[in-house]
Amino acid sequence: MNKFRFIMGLLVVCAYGFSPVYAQDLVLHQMSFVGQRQSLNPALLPEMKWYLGVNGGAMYGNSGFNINDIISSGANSGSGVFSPSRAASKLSADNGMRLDGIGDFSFGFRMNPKWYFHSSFSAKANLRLDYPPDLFQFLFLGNARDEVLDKDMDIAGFKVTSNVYGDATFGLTYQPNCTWTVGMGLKYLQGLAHISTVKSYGIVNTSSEFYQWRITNDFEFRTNMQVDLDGDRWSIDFQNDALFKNHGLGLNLGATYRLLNKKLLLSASIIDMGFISWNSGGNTRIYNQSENRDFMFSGLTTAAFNNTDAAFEEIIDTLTTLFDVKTERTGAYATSLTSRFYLGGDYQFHPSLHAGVLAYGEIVNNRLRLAWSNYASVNVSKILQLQGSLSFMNRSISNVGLGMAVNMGPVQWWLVSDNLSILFNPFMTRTLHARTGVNIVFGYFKDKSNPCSKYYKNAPPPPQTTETPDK
Amino acid sequence: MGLISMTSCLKDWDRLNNVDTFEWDAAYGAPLFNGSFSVNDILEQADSLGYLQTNQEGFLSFVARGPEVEVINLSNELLFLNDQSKSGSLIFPSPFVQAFNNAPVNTTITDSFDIIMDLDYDDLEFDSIFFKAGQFIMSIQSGTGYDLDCTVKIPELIENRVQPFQHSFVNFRTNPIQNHTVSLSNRLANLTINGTETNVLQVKFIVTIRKLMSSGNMNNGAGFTYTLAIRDQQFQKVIGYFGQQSFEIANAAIDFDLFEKTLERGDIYLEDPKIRLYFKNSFGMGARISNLDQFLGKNAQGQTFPITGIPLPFDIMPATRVGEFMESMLTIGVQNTNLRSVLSNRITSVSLDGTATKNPQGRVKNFATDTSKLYLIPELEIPFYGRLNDIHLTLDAEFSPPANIDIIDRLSLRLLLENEMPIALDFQLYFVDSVAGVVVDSFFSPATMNSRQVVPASTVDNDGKLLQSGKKSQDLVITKALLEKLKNNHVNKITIDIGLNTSNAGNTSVKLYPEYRIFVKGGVKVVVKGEGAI
Repeated sequence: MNKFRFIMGLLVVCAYGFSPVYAQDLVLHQMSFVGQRQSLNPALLPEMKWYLGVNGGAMYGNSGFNINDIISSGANSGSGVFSPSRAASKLSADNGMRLDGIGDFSFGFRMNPKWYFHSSFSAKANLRLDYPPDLFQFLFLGNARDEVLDKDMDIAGFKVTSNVYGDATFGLTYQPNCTWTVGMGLKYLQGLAHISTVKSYGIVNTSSEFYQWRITNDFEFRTNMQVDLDGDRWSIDFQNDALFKNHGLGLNLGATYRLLNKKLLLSASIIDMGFISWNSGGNTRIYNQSENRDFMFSGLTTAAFNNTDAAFEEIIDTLTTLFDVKTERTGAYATSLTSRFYLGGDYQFHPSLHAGVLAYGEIVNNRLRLAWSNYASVNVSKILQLQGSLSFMNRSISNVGLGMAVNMGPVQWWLVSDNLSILFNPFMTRTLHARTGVNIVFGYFKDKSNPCSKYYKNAPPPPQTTETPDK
Repeated sequence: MGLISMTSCLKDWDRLNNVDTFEWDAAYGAPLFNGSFSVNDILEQADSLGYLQTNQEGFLSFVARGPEVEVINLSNELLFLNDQSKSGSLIFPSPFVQAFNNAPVNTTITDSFDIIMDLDYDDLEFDSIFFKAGQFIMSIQSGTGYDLDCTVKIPELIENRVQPFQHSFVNFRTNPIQNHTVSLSNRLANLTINGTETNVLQVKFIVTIRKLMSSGNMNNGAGFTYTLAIRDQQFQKVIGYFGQQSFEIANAAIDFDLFEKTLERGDIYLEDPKIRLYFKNSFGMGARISNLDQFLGKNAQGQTFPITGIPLPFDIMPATRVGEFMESMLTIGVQNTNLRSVLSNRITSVSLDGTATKNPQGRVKNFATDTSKLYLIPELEIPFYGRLNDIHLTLDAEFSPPANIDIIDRLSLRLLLENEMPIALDFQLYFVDSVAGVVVDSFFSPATMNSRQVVPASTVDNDGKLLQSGKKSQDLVITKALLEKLKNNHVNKITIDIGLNTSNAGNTSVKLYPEYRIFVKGGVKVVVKGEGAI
């Protein structure tokens, strides 16, 4: 039990030490009724002999601020106060927005007592946008606070990564005994669209001498779309004829380990390790070719006093020259997937009740982002599994998640959400998430070929008293 | 649970729809200006009528120059050509009569007779006049009844430089009275005889008479009468002696407002101010100024201060040839004059008039053309070399308190000043209301000398050259309370009172060199704090 507390404590420290936080499918990870959780950890075996189904979901997360941060309660009942300064002050150094969408067809089946095969075919889209807190702090807290004078404020440090791609995963789970399980999934990826930031910054440094501004900037994006800029007219060609030229490979790895009389299940996985090579032929680099990326504004000169209109025009012209956007074709390039990992500890308090913690992490734009979830799961007979969670993600602890799986004969419907607080406190919400699916399942709790079924929640007693895989 | 959730959610939406106030807590800073002003830039603002120049010693002078004045009117005062007239009878002499009577019929007798036409041009003695316009009028009446012709010839009235004037009257038997007018334009009249006598014109009458069958003998005393006149003369050039009469010098003035703007109070000591009177003379005639009886300084209040001790007499030199402008300059400095003390009375103009005398050198030949001029250009030069003690300059600027000051907690103007001038600047700002025009508040309170902000003078060497500039860093803070006070009192103007003191508290003279500059850097910080209605 001490080991359990130590592990739990370590996970808490890790999770809370790396904010802000994103999350995805925290609830699904612990839904043992649902076979699709193998996409999150290929070592997590489903509790049926085989399954086949479709599902889809979407997720929005914003680690910066919520509506409540901007509109606070006024002195009068029902009135609101627009408080942008307060919202800006709550921003951390690392803020981002995330959008994910998935449509998935998947299936899995047990090959023999030690091997389980699973596969999925998915269409995935994701967007990661890091936005600079300095922009909002520049606008709503100002540039002349003592703590920012003579310091760089990056008001244009936007970093965007977006991929749209197809994912075909073929996986195997190996269960050498009832203590260890390992799994892996090989992916073939087909890229459809991509855009990402190579570099982007717009730094304003306000001097404490007499508040003069030094402005420096640069940016570069790349995309597989054919983007052209003719004068001030943009044109985008999505390169439909090159859709099947962007190939990629990926890998999911996972493992579980049971201890404490098999009541504590530790799990770890790292998924979406891989890359896509973009070879569509229209790859474009969008960048700032201005040679004047460094501008010092110290106020009007003496000569400008006599003609302020001309002086301001000159300043505006100079600022305009800071940006000279150009596009050019580039060769093939490769981008990595957003790799994610899950670390979990699940303790079975009762055959129908288990609870635990789950840590989630991903690396986006060279930054590690973590989420943390506490959950409890109840199996109400073989028909219904319910799970509730309280998660810390997107710099908010008030993320109440819910999972539900209903077995109606061979048809299973499942629904998970990492955050339902939008239903009763939408203005505090930083995360929206929902995923649902329908499966056809066979051999549910009747997977007698699995010698370790006895360790699954709500499972009937195994027909054998010996653990054959250990032999 | 659902009811609670729904109630909470509805309250949130209600709050979103009823955002009636905002709260802001921020501090914004921006640079306003970063420039420098030369001494020229500043001094040019101090006077709208004068200009600055670098003098021979390399430092600056203020120069105000009055309009060019034509000292003497050419036609009315100097060279007025009176109309001339001469009438008389020409009586044939006895030999001529005798010869006619003895001559056979159809014989022609010719003889010539000279007369001198004396011209009266008052005190002007002309050797020659080259006319631009005028008429020479001749009238001859013959009473003889004979067949007589008469040619009038004036050898010294030359047309086109070579052709002497000549005109013939014919047949007086049938036309006993004959008139003729000649234009004098482009004719040269030499009015000397033997190079000594002037203002005379010799006229020759050449008479031809034919003795007819019907002609009887001529009696003694026969002849004709004549009238010669010169009218409406205008010259292109005259040569002669134009006399020594006195004439009035046309009034000349210099206007400037340098002291009016700067000398509200305090003392100024100028080391070397000067007034120069430039004369430009294209007459071949000199003049002498013997009296400047109205040489005055005048201030904006109308008080006059005579300038005395002027070094007179002063001779205006003549041009040595046609087309030349000979320049003469009368300089009135501080030596033996009271110019320094007159200027210290916030003088805004200097004016003068007086009298002059022609030909101070005596009887010499003069010339003049119709384009000859004698100009006077008065000029005041104040080299910026002196001492200032508590001199004040007042500038007004429009000012409007920010309209929405509810959320402005404080407004701070940061000034960084670097002064290369050897003049210390101290200043105070006053806010003036739009109704009564009274001071609402001063920027630096209390409004005493001690509260004035001082920009130190630079240190300079003995030649006034810069050694080290004076520096000042200042934050001018307008608080919320002051802003509200300005708004409530409808302040619309800022009066800036700038005090000037040269080194050593105004006791050491300094020079202002054109390379001196005042560097000004400024930025503003606005602290926004509080709530306001949307």
